[in-house]
Amino acid sequence: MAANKIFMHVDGDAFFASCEQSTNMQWRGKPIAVGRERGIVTAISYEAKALGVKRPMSETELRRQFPQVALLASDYRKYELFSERMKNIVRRYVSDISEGSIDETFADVSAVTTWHEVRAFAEALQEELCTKLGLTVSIGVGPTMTIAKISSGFKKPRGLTIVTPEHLEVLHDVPLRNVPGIGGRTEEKLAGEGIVTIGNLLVLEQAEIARRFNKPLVELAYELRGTAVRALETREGTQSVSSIQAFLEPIMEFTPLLTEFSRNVERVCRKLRAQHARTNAVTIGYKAFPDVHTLITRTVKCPAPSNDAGTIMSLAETELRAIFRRSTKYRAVYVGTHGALAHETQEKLFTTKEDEAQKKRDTLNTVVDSLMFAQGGLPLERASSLRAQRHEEDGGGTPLLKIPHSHKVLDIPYLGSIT
Amino acid sequence: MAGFGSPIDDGRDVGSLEAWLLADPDATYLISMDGDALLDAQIAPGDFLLTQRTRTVRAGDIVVAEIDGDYVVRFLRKNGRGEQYLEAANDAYPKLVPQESLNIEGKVIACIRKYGSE
Repeated sequence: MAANKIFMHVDGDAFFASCEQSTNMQWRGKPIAVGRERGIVTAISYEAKALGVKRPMSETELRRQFPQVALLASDYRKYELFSERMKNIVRRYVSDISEGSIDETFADVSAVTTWHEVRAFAEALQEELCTKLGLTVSIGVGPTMTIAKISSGFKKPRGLTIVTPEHLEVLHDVPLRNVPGIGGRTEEKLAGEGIVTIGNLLVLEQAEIARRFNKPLVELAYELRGTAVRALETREGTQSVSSIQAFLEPIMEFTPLLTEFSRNVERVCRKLRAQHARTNAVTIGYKAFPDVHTLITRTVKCPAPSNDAGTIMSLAETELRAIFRRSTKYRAVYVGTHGALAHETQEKLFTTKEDEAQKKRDTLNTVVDSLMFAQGGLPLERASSLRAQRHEEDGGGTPLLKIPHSHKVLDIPYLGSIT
Repeated sequence: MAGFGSPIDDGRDVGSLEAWLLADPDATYLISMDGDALLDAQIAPGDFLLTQRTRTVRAGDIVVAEIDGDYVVRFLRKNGRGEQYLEAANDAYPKLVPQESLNIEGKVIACIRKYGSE
C-alpha cells in the first residue's frame, strides 16, 4: 500500500464512434453508430446518444427508430492505432502507465506532479490528446485507481474531474453500479442489504466489511476510502507474463475471438522476448456471460520453451477450437505463461533441423521487435490477428489505406479525400 | 511541457525516412487530394498529403480546415486586419472568407505522389 499516490484515468469518449468521426470529418457532430458487421449497435456517438440510441440495439431496430443514424462497421485496427497513439502521448508525460483496455489508460503520476499542480498537468495532457487524436477524452484524477476511474466518468465528454484525498465525500452519492469491479450479482446482493451508494458502503467499518463480504469488496472499500491497494500492472521484472483483454461488447463468433487471442499472444511473446525469456507452457482463458468474473482457463505445454507467437498461437488455436462454444457471449480473453520461465537457452553442441527452424523464427522475431522499437511501438500483428477483420472493410467508415500487394494496411490513419 | 523527447532521439546517428517525414508520428494523418485547387502549388489530384493535427499554424501554411461547415485544403492567409481566410493555388477558385466558422484541423507537412502501383 502506498501513501498519497496520484492516479490518473484517461478515458476515450465514445471511443470507437469518435475514431470514426476523427477519420471522417463529415461525421463530426453527426449521429453515428458502430457495429454493422455484427448487426448490432456496439458503440454510439454523443449525437446519437442524444437522440436516444442505446446499446445494444439491433440494426433493424436502429433503422426503424433512428433512420438518420449511420451504422458503420467496426474497424478494430483503426481503433488500435488510435489507442496506441493515445498511450504514446500519455507516456511522454509519465512513464508509469498501464495498458488497460483499448479506450483507456491508467497512469501513476505521483512522481511527476503534485495535488497542487495536477489540474494544469491534466489540462495540458488533455489538450494535447484532443488536438492530436482529433477526438475527445475525459480525465479523472484520484488517490486510487478506482477513484480515478469513477472520476473520469463524472463529466463527459471532455471532462476533467479531480477528487482529492480531502474531498472523498463527493463520491458518496455515486451508485455502486457505477463502480468498476462491482458486478450485477454483487450489486444485487448489496442492494438487498440496503447498500446502494458508495456512502452506504463506507458507513460500515472496514472490519465489518471484511466480516460480511469477500476479499474483492474489502479491497474495493479500501480503494474508495483513498488507500491505494491496486497498483498498475508493471511491465518489467515479472516472473510470469500475461495479457488480458476485455471487450466493450461481447464476442460470439469464433474468428473475432481468435483475433483477440492472437493479439494477446503477440503481446505476451513480445514481453517475453524483451526479457529474453521463454515459456514452457501457456495458459489461455476467457470470461463469458453470465458469470463474467470467473476466468475459465486451459493450460497447454509447449514442445520446447518458446517465445514465438506463431508456435504458441497454433497451440492456442487448437485448444481454443476445443473449448469454443457457439452462442456463448465472450467478455474477455486471457493469455499467460504457466510455470517458471526459461531464461536464455544453452547453446547445443549439435543442432537438429528443428533447432535451425527455431533459430530462423528467433531471427524473424528479433527483426519484428526492432521494427516495433524503431516505429515507437506501433502494432505489428500476425496475419491471424488480421484475418477476422477482412470482412469488415466495406462498412462505410473511412478505411485504413491498403499497402499494395500485401494484406497490410498503413499504420497512419487515413482521412479520406478532400477538395 | 513535460516530455521525454521524440522517438527520433534514440542515440543512433542514423534516422529513418519515416522519422524525417513525421515530426510528430502520433499526430500525423494521411489525406488524399481530390481536385485541382492547389495545382499551382504543385499539388495534383490523387496526391497524398501528410497532415499534422496541431494548434500552431501560421499564415502561409497549407491547412485542412472546416469553413462554414465545409472541409477543404487551402493556404491559410491573413488580411490587413489580422482576419484569417483561405486561398487556393488556382485562379479558378475563389478566396474563402469565413461567414460563421473557420476551424483549422491541421497543417499539411508533406505531399506524396506515388508512381504506378508499387
